Amino acid sequence: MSDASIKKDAPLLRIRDLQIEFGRHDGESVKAVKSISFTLKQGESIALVGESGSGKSATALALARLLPEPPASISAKEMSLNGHHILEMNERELRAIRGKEIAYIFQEPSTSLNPVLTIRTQIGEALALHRPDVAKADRDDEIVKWLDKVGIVDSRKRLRAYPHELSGGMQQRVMIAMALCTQPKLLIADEPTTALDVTIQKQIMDLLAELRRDLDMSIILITHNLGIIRSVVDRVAVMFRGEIVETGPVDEILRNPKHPYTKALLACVPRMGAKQPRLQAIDYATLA
Amino acid sequence: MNAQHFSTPPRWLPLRLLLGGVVAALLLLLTQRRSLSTLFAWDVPAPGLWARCGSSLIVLVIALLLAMSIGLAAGLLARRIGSRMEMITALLGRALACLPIAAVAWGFIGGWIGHLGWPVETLLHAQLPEAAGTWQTTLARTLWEFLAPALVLALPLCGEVIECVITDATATADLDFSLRARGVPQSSRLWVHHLRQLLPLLRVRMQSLCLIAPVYLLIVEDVLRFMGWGGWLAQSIRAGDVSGIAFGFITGGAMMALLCVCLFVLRGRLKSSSSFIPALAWHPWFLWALGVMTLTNMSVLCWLILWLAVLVAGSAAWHQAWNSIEDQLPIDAARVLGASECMIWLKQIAPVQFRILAAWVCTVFAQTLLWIAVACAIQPRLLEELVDPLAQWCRPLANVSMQDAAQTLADPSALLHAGSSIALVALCLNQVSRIVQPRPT
Repeated sequence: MSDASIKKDAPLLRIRDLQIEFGRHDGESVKAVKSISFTLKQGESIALVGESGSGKSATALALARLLPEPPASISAKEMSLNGHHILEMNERELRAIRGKEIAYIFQEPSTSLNPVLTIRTQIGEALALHRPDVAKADRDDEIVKWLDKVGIVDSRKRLRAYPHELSGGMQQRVMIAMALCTQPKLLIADEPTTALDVTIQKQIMDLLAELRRDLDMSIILITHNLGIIRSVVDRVAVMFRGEIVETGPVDEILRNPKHPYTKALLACVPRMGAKQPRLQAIDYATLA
Repeated sequence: MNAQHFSTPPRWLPLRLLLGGVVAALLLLLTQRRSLSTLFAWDVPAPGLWARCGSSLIVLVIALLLAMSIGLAAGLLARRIGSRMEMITALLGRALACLPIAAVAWGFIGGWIGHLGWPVETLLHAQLPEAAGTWQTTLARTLWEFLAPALVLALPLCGEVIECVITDATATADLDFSLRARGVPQSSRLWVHHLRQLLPLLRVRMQSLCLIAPVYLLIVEDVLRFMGWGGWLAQSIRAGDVSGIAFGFITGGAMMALLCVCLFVLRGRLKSSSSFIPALAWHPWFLWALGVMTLTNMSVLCWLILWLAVLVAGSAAWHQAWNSIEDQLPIDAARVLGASECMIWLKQIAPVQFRILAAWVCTVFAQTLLWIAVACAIQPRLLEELVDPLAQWCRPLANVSMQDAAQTLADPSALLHAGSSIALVALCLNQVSRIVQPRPT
């Protein structure tokens, strides 16, 4: 086997027995994530699906140690990204991989962009930090290239725009451009479409699917909506109360769910044309 | 705290300040039935006054720059350390801002001359015969002449800026989390992203300080015997010289306008306020009140003028606080649920208005106390009308004669006691105001 194929087959992300606890003032701690394990190969994508409070966002944030420690406490038998052992890294080393190897897109773009800095300054900062190969003189061209790639019209003109001059969808595209311009190996999209209206949601999900194909990048998509994941990810891990209750290829899970919680989640998704008198609520009594 | 609570300034603020000074001066002259020619004969008030104005402007610029840089550095470093340090630093800033300026100025002289034995150039000219002719000595003397009043003036202003930097941080977007996720170092998060968001707010705060600083300068220059606009105006007020006071209003307005124009170099602008109350409040009411107070011998009227100045200057705070909270009250929801207007007022509006009123009253009391201390330091005759313990607290701050000054320098305990008592009461009132004040979510 060639070196390239070995590298391709080696997992980009390996998580074994990840546990996340949050300390409380009364001394008792809350277990947000209870022993989850999964691996992700280069170019592979997974969706972490579950309701609010199931531990999916805490898992995603723990991958770059973004949770404040304390009150959070993260432990795992193994948590490595591209050969880096995340739990053994200090703040300086973590800073070097954040944005460079693992990039995030958050739910609300307007709270992630600095309102008083132009798009150019903010994307330029990401390039200056993580892409020393891009010379200062070429930075504008590189920014324009990425803005074009995420579908921003008249991108050179937008360089001097402030976030409030862009729509919510455009802001999220800028966030995606900012995350991708550093060419990360893993992109974590934490409910990237929740704050957007339905038509923009579709555009953003299609964009992520297209970029994933073009850039051969791994994606972890965090969502509570099973209806939007099919085009973007290969696998799904369904999380419930801090545990992965079911995992498998996306088509199989969507077609033939095994766990009652997955079935309940799918039953909550409204379908066009299907005769459903009323959307079903999850009956937690049967899941406990 | 003496600067206004956060309220955006009206449009054309420098022009308003300039014209406001002229109008106040004209009204003052008209009420005293003086001819306008007194005002326009600009060589009459005092020869060399323009040079004095220039000197004062330099002192003001140095003091404001010092206050801004020290305040920003302290506020941002406190933020870097953590929220507890932020709370402590904000409290220290508020305490510093509550110190009566006369106590600071006399304390400075007492410490510098009385304790350390070092000269203050404007009070004791250092004798350096062998080096007197060199440019270094001249530069050092000039520098020191300006630095001493600037340092004293910067101290309370610095307290104001520290408090503002920390308070205003809550109004900026918290980008820390997403910036950490992008691998942005802490220094950039603080000095680029956070600071850039703070600058437009800081400019408003500094403009607000520009209305206060010249009034403080009156005391500082008077105590340090600095040959500037403030010292001259303090003498005019004490002597009841109407044309001098009118001229002081005009030059004071011009200086404030110039300082506000200079602040346009700070990047980022907030939308100017277009309503009447902020437009009214953004004027140097305290300076005008101090001038007008000299014209009446009725002490009740004097205090009423001062009280009115405090009320008008603080009205913008109430207006801004109510405007920011009103939109968040569920008034429309209550109407939809069928609540009557009376019930809405009783359940939704009145409790919030009451808390705003209570907070405002506390602030007004704190400011009145501090401005009484300022007024008494300039016009000791007002002390006679004060009741204890206010009279006891304000008496050591009013050192007009050489004997008073010598006594204060020999035994500064009365001065320190007076200054700390006023500061403590003002600080407590401000803290109560902060606790009571409802905040928009």
